[in-house]
Amino acid sequence: MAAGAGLAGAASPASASVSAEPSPTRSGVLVDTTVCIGCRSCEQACKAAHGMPTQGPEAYEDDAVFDAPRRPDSTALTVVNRLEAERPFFLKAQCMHCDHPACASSCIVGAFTKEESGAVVWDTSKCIGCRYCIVACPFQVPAFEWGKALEPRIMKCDFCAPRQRDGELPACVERCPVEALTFGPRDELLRVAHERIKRSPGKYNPRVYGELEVGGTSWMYLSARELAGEALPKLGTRPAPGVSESIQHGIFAYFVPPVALYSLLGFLMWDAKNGPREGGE
Amino acid sequence: MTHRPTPLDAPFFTKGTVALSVLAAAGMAVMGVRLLFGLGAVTNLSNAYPWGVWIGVDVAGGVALAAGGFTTAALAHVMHKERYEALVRPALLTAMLGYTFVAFGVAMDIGRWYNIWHPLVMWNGRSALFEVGICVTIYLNVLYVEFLPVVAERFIGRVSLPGPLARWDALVDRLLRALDRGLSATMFSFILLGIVLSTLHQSSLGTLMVIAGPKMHPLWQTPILPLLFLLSAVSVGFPMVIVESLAASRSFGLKPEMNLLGELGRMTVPLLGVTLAFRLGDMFVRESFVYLREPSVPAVLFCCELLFGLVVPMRMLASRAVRESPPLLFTAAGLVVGGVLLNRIDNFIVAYTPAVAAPRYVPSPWEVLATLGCAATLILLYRAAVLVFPVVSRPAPGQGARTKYAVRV
Ligand code: SF4
Ligand code: SF4
Ligand code: SF4
Repeated sequence: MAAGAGLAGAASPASASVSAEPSPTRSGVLVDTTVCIGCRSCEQACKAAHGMPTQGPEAYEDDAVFDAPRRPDSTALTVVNRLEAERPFFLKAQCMHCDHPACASSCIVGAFTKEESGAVVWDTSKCIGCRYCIVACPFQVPAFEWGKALEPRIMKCDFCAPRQRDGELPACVERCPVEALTFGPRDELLRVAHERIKRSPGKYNPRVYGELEVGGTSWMYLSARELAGEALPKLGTRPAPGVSESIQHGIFAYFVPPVALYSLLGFLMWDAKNGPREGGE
Repeated sequence: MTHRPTPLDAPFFTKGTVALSVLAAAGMAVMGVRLLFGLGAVTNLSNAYPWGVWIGVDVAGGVALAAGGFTTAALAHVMHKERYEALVRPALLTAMLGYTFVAFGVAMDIGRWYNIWHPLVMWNGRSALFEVGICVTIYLNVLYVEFLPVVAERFIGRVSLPGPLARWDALVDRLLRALDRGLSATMFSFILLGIVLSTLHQSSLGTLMVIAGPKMHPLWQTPILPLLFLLSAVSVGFPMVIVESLAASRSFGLKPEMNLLGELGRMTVPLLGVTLAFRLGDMFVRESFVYLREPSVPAVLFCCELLFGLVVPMRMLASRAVRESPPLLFTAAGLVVGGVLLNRIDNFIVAYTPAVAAPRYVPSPWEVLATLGCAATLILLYRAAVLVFPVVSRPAPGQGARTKYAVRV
């Protein structure tokens, strides 16, 4: 039972039926989709910053990529899609850096951490490649290296955590030519977002995507029309790991339920053996 | 009638086992390719559908269908119904082999199979998968311990090591006897531990998909998934024993223990009833029945689970005539087994839709071949084990006290 007792110990005390609160000073990025011109410079900057092969400038001028929607994968941590609407617009996709990340809650070995900076990062030395993080992520972000027999990685945007540590901006934010991406403390970004909505109510959908979704995300979107259920998943406001973690804590509350079950079964066993016998049994 | 487990006397190779061997070899070849070239080479998995039949069938299905081990142990040892003793060892063997293959399936499915030990030292108590992993690992070892007495019984008094090692025979024999005595005294604690661990991971297996939230079809996504998984595992335990026992009797030309099996069938009825009640109750409380209005693949499969996996077998097993007829009993128990298997496939594969639309996952022929290969290997090992070890009980001709360690020549 040693492992079991430790299990209860590994889980944090009493009220911790949801994950730890994120740092109040965490940063985020506000994506203003009404400003984005779909130049895909951010894609190129991201690849360069992560040492991934990039294509020549012509490739980034070719609009044909927009014909089919793309997802971030192991070769591109962020991608820009064009969404067809009355007035087509562009939407950059990457990890949302959730305040209560489902990936971190689900990972069997705890390979994900939500850092002070707001970045959700992944530790290659722990991962076993089970892909439960992909099952758990509400935004379908983590990508797996399916073609690798050895050391396949989970790949996702890391919010340029190493650059941030050196006091630099995330590569995409730095590169964006039209300031469609604003980096800053999350509180501040929310204030800016709501101010923009107030200033030009006709231009913006009144909701900031990511403000409340699954308990809040570090990356947030401003748009002309509602994104939830169209371009981005429609999600509730409760942290994604909430229900699952409560169940876990219910079953394991200080390991009382399993030990109680063990004792009860032991008693039944003793009782059946020593108690009065039923006829013929 | 006294029953005594003995190694069965039958040839290992028959037409059936040769066919199974071919299947097993093909399955293992697929695993070889997977190890050399990665998961992408043989599976249709993608970032949109990260889990497929290896998790849904080999792992989730395997764990559920191995539930006969702990339910029979609870019946025979905790409730102390000794006459079911004859069914304990076959169920234990199935559970032991079943869980071994679950572990093998997991190892093949995870991208970094050589890191499979990580969860033992890198803990994440918030993760349902961690809990499943730890409990299954401990339980697998408990099952091996529970099986040790069978091995000891086979060799005590008959140890004969080859060649020069022969002079250790007496020592090994003494060790086996000591081990057996030690285990006899402490076995109850392992049996209890096995039951507790089973309860824990059978239910946590249900918690796994809870975190997928709206990606799970509402017909299946419910916070009581762990309870539903536990109930269905408990109710499939006896039917699985029935199916195996009838199949083995037939294959080895033994007389099936219809009395005992019929009793197990009768006890399954209320278990199915409780499972059905919770599933219907859950559906009405969450009002998920609205999804049954228009015909869709999930709706049809959901109804199949309830109808053919619960209602029909429940009605069948309630009838005495069914319980007394081997083919009908086999059919009823087989429906329960099929229903639970379908339920696991539904939960892990059918109910899952990625957050961003993508072409639906359909397993590749290789994935299916590997799964069938594992099942075939399991059956072959089962056959080999009952030929070598005293697992299956046969009515002993001469009555008299059960001698535990008869010296056989
Ligand atoms: S978007 Fe997905 S991968 Fe990114 S932090 Fe949230 S749960 Fe994790
Ligand atoms: S694939 Fe790696 S990072 Fe993802 S849940 Fe499994 S161990 Fe954790
Ligand atoms: S660099 Fe800026 S404008 Fe260009 S696609 Fe990226 S976010 Fe849009």
